[in-house]
Amino acid sequence: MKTQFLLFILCLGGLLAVPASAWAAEPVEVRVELAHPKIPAQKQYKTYLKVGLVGLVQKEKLARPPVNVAIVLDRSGSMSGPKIEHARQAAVEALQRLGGDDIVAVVTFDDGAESVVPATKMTNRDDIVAAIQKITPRGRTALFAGLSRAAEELRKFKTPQMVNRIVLLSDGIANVGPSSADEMGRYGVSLAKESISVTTIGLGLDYNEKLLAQLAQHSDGNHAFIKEPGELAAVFTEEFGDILSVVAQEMQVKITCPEGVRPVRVLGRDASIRGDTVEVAMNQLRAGQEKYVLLEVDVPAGTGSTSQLIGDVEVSYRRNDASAPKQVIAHSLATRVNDDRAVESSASTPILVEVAKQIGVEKQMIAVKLTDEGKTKEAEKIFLDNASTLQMLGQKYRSPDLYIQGNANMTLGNNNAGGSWQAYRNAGQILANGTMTQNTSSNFDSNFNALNSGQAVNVPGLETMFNRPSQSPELNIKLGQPPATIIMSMPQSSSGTIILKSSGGR
Amino acid sequence: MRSRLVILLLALVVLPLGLIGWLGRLFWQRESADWQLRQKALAMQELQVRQQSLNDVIHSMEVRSHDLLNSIGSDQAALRNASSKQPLIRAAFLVEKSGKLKIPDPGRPDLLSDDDRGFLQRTDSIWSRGTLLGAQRQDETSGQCNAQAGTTHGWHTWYHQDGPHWLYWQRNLDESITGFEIERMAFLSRLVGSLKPADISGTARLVSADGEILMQQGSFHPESDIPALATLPCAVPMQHWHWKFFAAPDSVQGPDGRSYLLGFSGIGALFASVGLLLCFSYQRELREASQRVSFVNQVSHELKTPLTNIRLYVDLARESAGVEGNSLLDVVEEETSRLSRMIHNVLTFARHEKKTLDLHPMAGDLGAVVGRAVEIWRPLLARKNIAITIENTLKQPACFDADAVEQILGNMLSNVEKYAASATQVEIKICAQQDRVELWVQDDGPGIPKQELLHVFDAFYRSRNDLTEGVSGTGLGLSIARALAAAQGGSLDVVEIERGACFVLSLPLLETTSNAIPAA
Repeated sequence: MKTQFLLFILCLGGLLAVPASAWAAEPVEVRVELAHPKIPAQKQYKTYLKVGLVGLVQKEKLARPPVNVAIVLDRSGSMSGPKIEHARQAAVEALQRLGGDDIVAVVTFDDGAESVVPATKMTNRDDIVAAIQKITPRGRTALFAGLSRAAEELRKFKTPQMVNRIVLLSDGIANVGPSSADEMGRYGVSLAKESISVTTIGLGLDYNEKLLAQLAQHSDGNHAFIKEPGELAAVFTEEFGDILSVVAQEMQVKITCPEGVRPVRVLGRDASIRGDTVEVAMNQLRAGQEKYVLLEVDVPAGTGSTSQLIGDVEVSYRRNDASAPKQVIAHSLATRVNDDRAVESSASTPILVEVAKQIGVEKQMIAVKLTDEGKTKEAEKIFLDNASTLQMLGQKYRSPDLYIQGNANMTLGNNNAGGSWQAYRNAGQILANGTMTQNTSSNFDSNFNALNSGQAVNVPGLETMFNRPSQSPELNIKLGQPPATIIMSMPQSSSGTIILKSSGGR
Repeated sequence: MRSRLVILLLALVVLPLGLIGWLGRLFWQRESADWQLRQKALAMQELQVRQQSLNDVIHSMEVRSHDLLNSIGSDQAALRNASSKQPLIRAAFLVEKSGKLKIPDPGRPDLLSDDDRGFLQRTDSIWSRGTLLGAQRQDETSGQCNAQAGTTHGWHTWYHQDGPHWLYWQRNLDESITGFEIERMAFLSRLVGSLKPADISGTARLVSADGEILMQQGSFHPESDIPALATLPCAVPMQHWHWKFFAAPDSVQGPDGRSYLLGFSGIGALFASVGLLLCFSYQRELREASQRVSFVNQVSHELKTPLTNIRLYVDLARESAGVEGNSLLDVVEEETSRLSRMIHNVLTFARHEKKTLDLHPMAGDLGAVVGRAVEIWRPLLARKNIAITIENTLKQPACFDADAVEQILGNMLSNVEKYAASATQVEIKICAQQDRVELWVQDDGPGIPKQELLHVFDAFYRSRNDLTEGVSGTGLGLSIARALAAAQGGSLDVVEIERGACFVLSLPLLETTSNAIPAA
C-alpha cells in the first residue's frame, strides 16, 4: 500500500511539479486533482475530478498580445445626465491604457446601432476621444443591434493572436430587436466560437440582469453590476486590466474516462459529454486567474490496493506568442483502499467545498427560474432545502463560505414573494459578500452576524465583477476600509454571472 | 338692380373662386396620390436594398456551409465537431441513405451530449415524420426546399417553440445527407452587421411571423395599428419574415400643402379683386347714370315750358310765313317734337323709376292711334328714304293708353330713324291673337346683333357697335317702351328675324282690362 501511495504521489507530482519546472516559461499551469485521492475498493463510488488552469504572472515582461476591443455604449434616453458623462469618461480613461498596436472601436446604440469610432488602431487618440465625447443620449435600446455592429467591427482586424473583447454598458431593457435572455445566451455561445468575449456592465437598477448575465456567461466574459455611474471608471479600468493581462486563449480541456468510469456531469460550466469523453472550451485566461473544470465521475467497484485510472486529461491552449496550440497531457489516478476512514482523511476539503458551492448554485438557479415562472412555493422549498444543506456542509467542512451561501438561500427562501429582480440582486449581493469573505476573513464576522440576523449587508460602492482571481496581486480587496471599488471574486472564476443565478461559463 | 348685382358678384367672384378652389383640391388630391405612390416606391426601394443584404448573408451562409460540408466529406468526427468552431452553426447532422439519422444517433443515448439531445428535441418533428427524404414535399408556394430525389441541397425551415429554425442540407455521392442547423442569433447578427447605416425618413423593420421586431433601422416608432407603407416578404428560407417600411408622420403629409394653398388663394384673390373691381365700376356706372337721369329729369321739367312756348309760336308763325318759311318751320317743329319726345321719355323713365308711372288704359281703336302716330313720323322717315306701311286686320277694340302706345311707337320709329338709316321700309302690322292684340314693327335695316337682343331693353344700354357711333340717344327708349307696355297690361318683346329688327307690342283685348301696374 505504501508503494502504491508513493506511486500515486509520483503520478500526481508528475502532473504538478514536473510541468512547473520543465516549462518554467509557460504562462499556464495545469493542475489535475481528485476530491478523493483514495477511494473505497469494494463499492461503486462518486468523486470529483478537478482540472485547473492557472494563469501565471510572468516574471519578465513579455510582449502582451494586441487587443481588439469594441466598447458598446447604451445611449438610449435613460442614460442622460451623469450616467452618460461617466460612461464617456470611463471609456476615455480605459482607452488610455491601450497601446498603438491595439485596435479599438466604439459603438453606440439607441434606436439602431452606430459605429461612433469604426475599428481603428489606437494611434489617433485625440480623434477617438473627441468622437466619444460627442455621444449624447437619445431614443430607445437596440442592444442586439449594438452588439452585432460591435462584432462586425471586431471582425475587421481580427487575428488569432489578438484578444477580442466587447465591453457592453447598458442601463435598461432591450426593447428593439431580440431581447430574451435565452436568445442572448445563444448569441454569446456563437461569439465565443469566434473568440469574442462579451463583458457586460449593468448600470443602475433597471437593466435586464438576466440578459446581460447570460450573454457574459456564454461568451466567457465578465458581468458587473454598478449602482452609481461614478463607479464606472473603476470597472472599465479593471476590465481593461483584465483584457490586457490575458496569457492564453482558446483553451480546451478533454477528459477521457477509462472503461467503467462514467463521467456524470460538469459542475457550473457548459460541457459536452459524449460517452466517455468530456470536452470543455474556455476562451481566455489571464495572469493570476484560475479557471477549472469540476467533473463528477462514478467509479465502479474494484479490488483493494490497486490504482484506478479516473481519466486521461488533455489540455490545449494557445500562448500569446504562438500561433499553434500547446498541449499538456496528464493522467488522474486514485488508489483503492479498504479503509473508509482513509478515504475520508484523504479527501480534499477545498474541492469538496467547491463542489458543494456549485451544486448549491445550481439549485439556486433552478429556484430562481421557478420564481420567474411564478412558481414561488416550489422555489421557496428549494431555497430552504438548499440553505440547510449548505449550512450543514459549511459546518462539516468548516467553511464560512458555504455557511453564508446557505444563509443567503434562507433569506431568499423567506423573502421569495415573486418580487422584482431587485430583490434577487440584493440577495445576490449578500451571496457575493459571502464568497468575498473567503479573501477577507477579517471582516467575515460582521457580515456573518448581519446575515444571521437576516439583515441585508449593504456595502457602499459594492460591485460584482467575476472572473476575478483571489490570488491576483493587482487586486487588493479590503472590505474594512470602504474603497471606491470592491471586486467580488469567485473561485469558480470563469463565471459570467453573479453567484445567485449561475457560476458556470463556457 | 340689386339682384343683378348679386348675380354679377356671384358670376365674377364666387364662381371663379369656387372653381379655383375645386380645381386646387383636385390638383392637390392628384398630387397627394402621386406623392403617395412615389413614397411607396421609395419605401419599396429601401426594403429591396435590405432584402439584398439579407440575400447576400443567406447566400454566403449557403456557400460556407457547402464548402464546409464538402471539406468534411465523410469524416464523421469532423462533422460532430463542426458546431464547436463555427459561429453560424448550432448543430451538425448526418442522415444515412436508408433515411436513418446517424449523427447525432438517437439510438445511442450514452453517446449524446446535452447539445445533441437539444438538437434531437428541436428536430423531433422532422424525424418523427420520417426523415427529410421523401416526407418533405416540394412546396412551391412556401418555397420550401426538400430532399427529394434529384435535389442536391437546400433549406428546411421548421418551427419549434421560440420561432423558426433552419437546416441547410446537401446530398452526398453516397446518397447520405449531411447538413447544419443554423444559429439563428448569429445569422441575425450578421444581417444587422451587414446593413449599412442609412439615414432614412421612416423606419425599416424586419418582422417575424408572429410580429416580433427582429431588427429596425430608423428612429421612428410607429404605433402598432399603423399599416406599413410597404411590405416585402423575405426570400427562402426566411420566407416567414417580412420587411416593413413605416413612414414617419412628419413625412406623411406629402407635398408642401402651404405652397399650394398660397398659390391657389393668390389666384383666387386676384379673381376676387378683379370681380369686385368690375362690380364696383358697374355700380358706379349705374349710380352715375341715375344721377344723370335725375339731372336730366329736373332740366326736362324746366325745358317743358319753353318747348311748349316754342311750338305755340311756331304754329303762330306758320300763319304769317310763306311757303319757304313754312318748310323751315316744319324742320323747327320736327326738331321741337323730337326734343319734347326726349323730354317725355326722360320724365316717363323718372316716373317709372320712382314707381309713379300711372297709366289709364281704356277701350279704343288701336289702328287709329297707330295711324295718327305714324303720320307724324312719315315725313321724317321719308327724308331718309324709309317708307312706312300699315296693315291692320284688327276688328275689335283694344284696351290701351293711347298716349303710351303713341310714345312706344314713337320710340321704336325713332330707333329706326337713328339706328336703321339703311332700311328702306318699316312694316307695321296690327292683328288679333287670341285674347291679345299684337302690334308688329319690323324694319329691313341692319338689325340687332344676336348677343345683344337680351339687353336692348336695359336702361342706358346702347348697342355697342359702329352703328351707334355718332348717334345721340339716352339709351332709354326701349326700356321706357317696355315699362309702358307692362304698365298697361301688355308686353314688348324683340323678335329674332333674318334681316332687320322686329318688335312686338302685345296688348290685351277689351275683355281683360287691367289698371294695375305690374311691378317693374
